[in-house]
Amino acid sequence: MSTADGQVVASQLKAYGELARMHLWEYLKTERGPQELYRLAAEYPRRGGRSLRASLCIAAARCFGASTAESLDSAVALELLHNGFLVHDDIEDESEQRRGLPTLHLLHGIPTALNVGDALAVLSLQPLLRNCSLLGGRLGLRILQETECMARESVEGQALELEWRRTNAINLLPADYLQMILKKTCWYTTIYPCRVGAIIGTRDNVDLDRFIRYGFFLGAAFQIQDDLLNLVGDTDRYGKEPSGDLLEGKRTLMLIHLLHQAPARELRRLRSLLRLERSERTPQQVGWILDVMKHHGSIDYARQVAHGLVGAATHEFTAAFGDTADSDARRFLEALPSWVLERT
Amino acid sequence: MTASERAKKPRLKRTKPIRSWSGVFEPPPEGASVAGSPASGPATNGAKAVPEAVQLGYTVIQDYLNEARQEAQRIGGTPRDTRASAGPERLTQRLFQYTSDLTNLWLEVLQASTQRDTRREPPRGTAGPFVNGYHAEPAPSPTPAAPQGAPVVSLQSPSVSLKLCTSRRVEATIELRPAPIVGPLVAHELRAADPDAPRVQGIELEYRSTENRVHVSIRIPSDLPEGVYSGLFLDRSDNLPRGTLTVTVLPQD
Repeated sequence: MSTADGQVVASQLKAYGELARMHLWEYLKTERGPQELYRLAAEYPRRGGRSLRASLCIAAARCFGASTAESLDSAVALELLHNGFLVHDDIEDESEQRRGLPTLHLLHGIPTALNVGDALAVLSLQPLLRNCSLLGGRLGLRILQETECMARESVEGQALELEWRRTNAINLLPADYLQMILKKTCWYTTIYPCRVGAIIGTRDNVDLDRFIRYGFFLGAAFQIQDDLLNLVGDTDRYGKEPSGDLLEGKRTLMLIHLLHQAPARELRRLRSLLRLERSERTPQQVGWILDVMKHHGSIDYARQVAHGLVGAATHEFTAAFGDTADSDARRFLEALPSWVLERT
Repeated sequence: MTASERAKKPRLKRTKPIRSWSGVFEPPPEGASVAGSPASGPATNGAKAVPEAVQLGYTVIQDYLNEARQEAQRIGGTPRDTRASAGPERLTQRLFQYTSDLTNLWLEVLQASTQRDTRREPPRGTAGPFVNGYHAEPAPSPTPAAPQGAPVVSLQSPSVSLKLCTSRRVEATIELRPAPIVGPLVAHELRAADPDAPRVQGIELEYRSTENRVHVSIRIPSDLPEGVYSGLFLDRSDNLPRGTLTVTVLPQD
């Protein structure tokens, strides 16, 4: 990625992200109800994050001629829902850190954290309903329909991954992994924001399949890079506990590769380690898994796959946004695939 | 190497051009099949991983889209909205949709005007507060006069007058947002879903604040292809959209 491309992504993420966060606070401020709930609901958004999803939504809408104001409520709804998902994910994965600080359930207990996650999901309905008055009833309902589809795909994807862990699935293929992250990650991280932005910009007069392809390749590369950072990333900047995915027994592309490459003796040990509960796995065992991953080229393999997917995303950009005029938003969307690999 | 031996170039691994796409990233091994079928395990070779991953990605996404289309056909809807073309069925559906929108808009306009009527002042001298159909309101404070030159902003939904110059069968839908108009208004050119389709230009818009009415004038070229064309109204005061205009050019009889 050229320096200029990197600057485009950084500046647009900053600009769109700040707008989205400012608007998001409006939905978390209330005079009524238990103030503690709203304070905790604002906890994860307050810790930072890039607002990638909101930025994608705003940029896609602007690409198709809509103003930022027209897409802001949809972008904020997605950020609220995303933060709700994070709270619940952290509980399901028994994660200890989020954005550099202890997870909400570790700080306040699982029942409170569950309720905060629910609250964030419910609060995300408010900006979606506001769309109806800003964009008209037809378009507002159309976005709501997209949101229902996205949320369903996301929970289905999460269910797949949890089931793999619960049953200690071993015979997985890269295709299984891609199908799972298409649902779990890509839909709500990249596909949905592009589709909703395009719906707003074109008044729902565009073929939406092309955003599924662009969003899939972009989101898949994003997820693989995220999984790589968990294992070999900069511990200070990553924000989650290092090698947390190995502790959780998460079926990443690296683990699936290792399960196919490891010789019988290592495979036996690997299977028995994956069968353990998270609390039973020791740092030494996790360190051993990481070592054999490196030894059998699983980390390099995942990097290569991420590069390939970024190439495909760049190609699909032309199909998704090729007919839009040159703009900052378009340049942002074009440079985004390469940025995915550069992020730390 | 002894002094009497000549230095030689190493033997080349390949002496012919690669003419096969399957071997574009490396010479294809003996009996190589097409890489990256969904049932295959991960590649062990780094260079092979890239093309395999891309091919696998395309297989996964195509399978997903096919499955979504089948599901949509089965239930007779579009759950993931994979509509790829604007066929006659889709156009008819949209025609109904726009007609429904126009009906709703008309009902809202009627409702607004009806509300004005029911809130007219009761006859003088009635003994309050038992007045049929009217709730007594506190006496209004004198309205401060608007400063000279300031735009008059109406909080009521504006009415619409449409002047349509066309030799074609068309249907026009105007959707106004419930936000006050300050003006002046400008309109984007009307675009079709197909980016290469011609656009409808020269739309004239005028907002007359005294009568709270938007005057729209559209000229449809006689050679405009059939289809749906839409665009936005913008309020110059804040550059925010105040509504949309949709023109459906119908087939000739």
